Amino acid sequence: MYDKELIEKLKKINLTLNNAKNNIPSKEYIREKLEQVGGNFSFIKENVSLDINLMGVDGSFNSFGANYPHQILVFRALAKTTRGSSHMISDVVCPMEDKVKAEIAKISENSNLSYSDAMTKLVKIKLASMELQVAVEAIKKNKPDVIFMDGSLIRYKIEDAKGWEELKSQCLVNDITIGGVIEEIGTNSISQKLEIHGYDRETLFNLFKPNEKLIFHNIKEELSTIFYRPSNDPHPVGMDCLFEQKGKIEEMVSLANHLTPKGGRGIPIWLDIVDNEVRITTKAIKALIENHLDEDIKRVFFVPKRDNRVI
Amino acid sequence: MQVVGETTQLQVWVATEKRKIRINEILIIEDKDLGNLRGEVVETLSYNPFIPLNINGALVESNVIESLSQLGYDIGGSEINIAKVNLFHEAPYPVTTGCKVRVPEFFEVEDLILFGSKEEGLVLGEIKSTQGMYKSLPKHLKGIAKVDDNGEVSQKGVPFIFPIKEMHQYPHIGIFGGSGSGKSYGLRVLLEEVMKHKIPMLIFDPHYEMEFKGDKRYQTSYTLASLGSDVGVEFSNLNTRDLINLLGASHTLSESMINAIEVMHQRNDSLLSFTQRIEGVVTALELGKNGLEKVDLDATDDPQKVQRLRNLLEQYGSLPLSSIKGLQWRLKRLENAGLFTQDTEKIELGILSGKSVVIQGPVWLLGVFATYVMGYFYHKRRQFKDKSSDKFYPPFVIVTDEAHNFAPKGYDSPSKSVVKEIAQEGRKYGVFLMLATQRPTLLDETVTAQLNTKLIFRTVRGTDIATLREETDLTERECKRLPYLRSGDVFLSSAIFGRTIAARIRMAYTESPFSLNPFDELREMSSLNDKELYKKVEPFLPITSADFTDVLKKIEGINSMEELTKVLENLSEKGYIIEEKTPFGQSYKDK
Repeated sequence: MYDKELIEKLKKINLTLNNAKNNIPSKEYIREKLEQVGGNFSFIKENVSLDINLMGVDGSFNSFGANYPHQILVFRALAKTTRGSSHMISDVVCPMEDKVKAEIAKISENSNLSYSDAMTKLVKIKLASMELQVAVEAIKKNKPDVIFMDGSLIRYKIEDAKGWEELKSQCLVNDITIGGVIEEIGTNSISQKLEIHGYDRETLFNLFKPNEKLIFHNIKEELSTIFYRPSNDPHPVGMDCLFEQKGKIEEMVSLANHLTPKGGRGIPIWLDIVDNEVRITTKAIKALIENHLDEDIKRVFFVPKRDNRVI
Repeated sequence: MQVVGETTQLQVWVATEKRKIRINEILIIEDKDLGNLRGEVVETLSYNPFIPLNINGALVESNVIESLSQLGYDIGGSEINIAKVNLFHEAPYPVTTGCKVRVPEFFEVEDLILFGSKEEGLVLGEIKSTQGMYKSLPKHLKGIAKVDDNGEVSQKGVPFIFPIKEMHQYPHIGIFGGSGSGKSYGLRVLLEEVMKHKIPMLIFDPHYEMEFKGDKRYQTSYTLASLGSDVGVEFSNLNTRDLINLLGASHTLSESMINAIEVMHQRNDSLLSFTQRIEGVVTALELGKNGLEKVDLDATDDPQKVQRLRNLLEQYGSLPLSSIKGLQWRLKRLENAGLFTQDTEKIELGILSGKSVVIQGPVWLLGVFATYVMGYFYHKRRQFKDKSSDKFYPPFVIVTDEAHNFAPKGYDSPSKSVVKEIAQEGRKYGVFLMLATQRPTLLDETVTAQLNTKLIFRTVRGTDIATLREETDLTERECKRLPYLRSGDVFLSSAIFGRTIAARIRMAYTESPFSLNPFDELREMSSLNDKELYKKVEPFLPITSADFTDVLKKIEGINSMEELTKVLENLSEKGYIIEEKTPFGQSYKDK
């Protein structure tokens, strides 16, 4: 059924990756090296005060349609606290609208990207700024004690610097501890520090015992980062905190660890709950479009031909 | 509420976060194209993102859930209620997803849930899951069917009214349910309602529980007749067939016994003449021809008597002695039970004056009597309708609990043929059956098939559930609920309204003599004893151990030191008196 060429090429990749994996230094070596540069492995403290109002912030995006620009993009961001308040904003964007067209053109020009890449960038920016917006609005409405953002905080700074500054100052003024929970570690800064070839994901794999943590300050600008292993999954997860709030980072990790199912993939349950609520499924977006867009418009602009495949 | 997910022209799913959805609730789906559609909830489930303990593939441990609630998160609050709704009438095309669903106003579904007026029908209870319609219920339908819901007695929904007039088209009612399911209670409520309409009933009550005390309205509606002392069989009215049935009711008769009855029973025989004849034949057969001749030689006996014995021997000499002795024994048994000392006049008077007659007696004798009396009255009514008699006989209802004893499946019993005949032809003559049983499987199939309305209470036995499934329009899903129904909850399946309705039986107005819980009864009795003992002891309090002999002498009914100590200890344990330890032994003081 599959041609031989494909199989051969996959086997080759496997070999390459296997070599790369074998080149990763041993666990003991990495731990030693990390300690040499000042890293201090320790276990997460167990005593957690749950007398707080925890807010989770997450965004979601999904699209309907064929290729750029014949698409409809749906965005949603949610800030939800454990004490029962929840604040959601949503938006629908179509690259065929003049305003959006102009925005994409601007991004394309500034970053030297093709229009469709510029739209991908727009999605990222839009998602980040909506999450920031909903977080700031929710803080004003209902003051939480702790905020968990979905993903690294550095992302917000990159995509929407202005919005990030606003949220940061709100947190500092109101004494709200904020943390970004990193599910997928995508950096290579630690590996670089240790002069190991590869990404942090590979370097940190199976390095931690369950409930063990390691703190770094300033490997990302203005942020403290902590890596820890909250569940049985050997891949650690990370958390970003404001440098100004580094004193509270241990508390934050304890809280996140406490709220993480041990059999899961390492994300505090609250973020999963927020994610569950905010997520726009493909089914849902289809239902929305079916119900609220005229059939002819839908057909002319959006329905991809691949939907009509018969085999 | 909203329609969600995939829909068909018959079935939709409805979801809401705002309220619980009740099973059997009627809902209205507001479809822009199809108009307002009506449906019934057939399945409910509540979905909580965390309770399956599996979110995005990760199992959530209980301590994490606990922490969430400590953080102030209302886990129950994020529940989503989902219901499967079957439409009453098929729509031409599938229902639009996303359309609004709401609770109907009463008038919108009146035709589906109200089957008669309260004046002309039987108000049996409250239809389940109709609470949402109570507000829009017309005033005259409120407060007429109070039900007991966890100790709270009130009507919160639409009353269930059974249109008894429709029984003319769809006759006979079956009441099925296991022990403690509320079957007898349901029967009581049913009878109360029938009595309200002054429809005469013949109630066979093997459990001595169909008394209607506690409400004056019913006191004049029924007569209590105890079999043997109030009512019985007038022997001279019996024809040979009746007599065979009667004698065969408690113990089956052999062929030769039936033959013997047929030969010996004569028209207009009285009990005396018949028993004397039997006795005579027994004596004659015992003496035999030779013996009888000897008697003649001695000439000490009454010659007339001897002549009579000789005649009997000549007439019945070919009958086997053992069969006749068997008959004699069976007849004696009925006679001793008092069956022949009374007649059916009390029943007849009751029926003619529109009353219900409750006939109480042991189940074996009741079976015998019911056979006779059902046939007797049924034929009187039949003769009136056939115009072969001018004497008016009212239509009436025959009611019995433990009906499988009267019309058993698989074997013949004398009462079965009567019950079967009424089940099949009673409709024409206005004679109806209400049969209650714990075991529908044991009830004759022809009879079960004729019960056009069935009240089904909790049933646990698999075979019975299977029978009910065959004999009613209960669905698989409803059958699965049968073993778990609360006492007093009932499925009503009837040809009259063409579908199954879940209801809760209303509170009875009258009381059964057995309404007291036997354990409460025991406690009540023992506390009564304690009170009596306390009264005896009270004049001598305080009592110290030194006083015991003195007290013993004066007190009545307590005879030993041991007994007195026990009584005092018991009383102090129950809190009537106080026990104290003193240097001089125990001391008992009044409280």
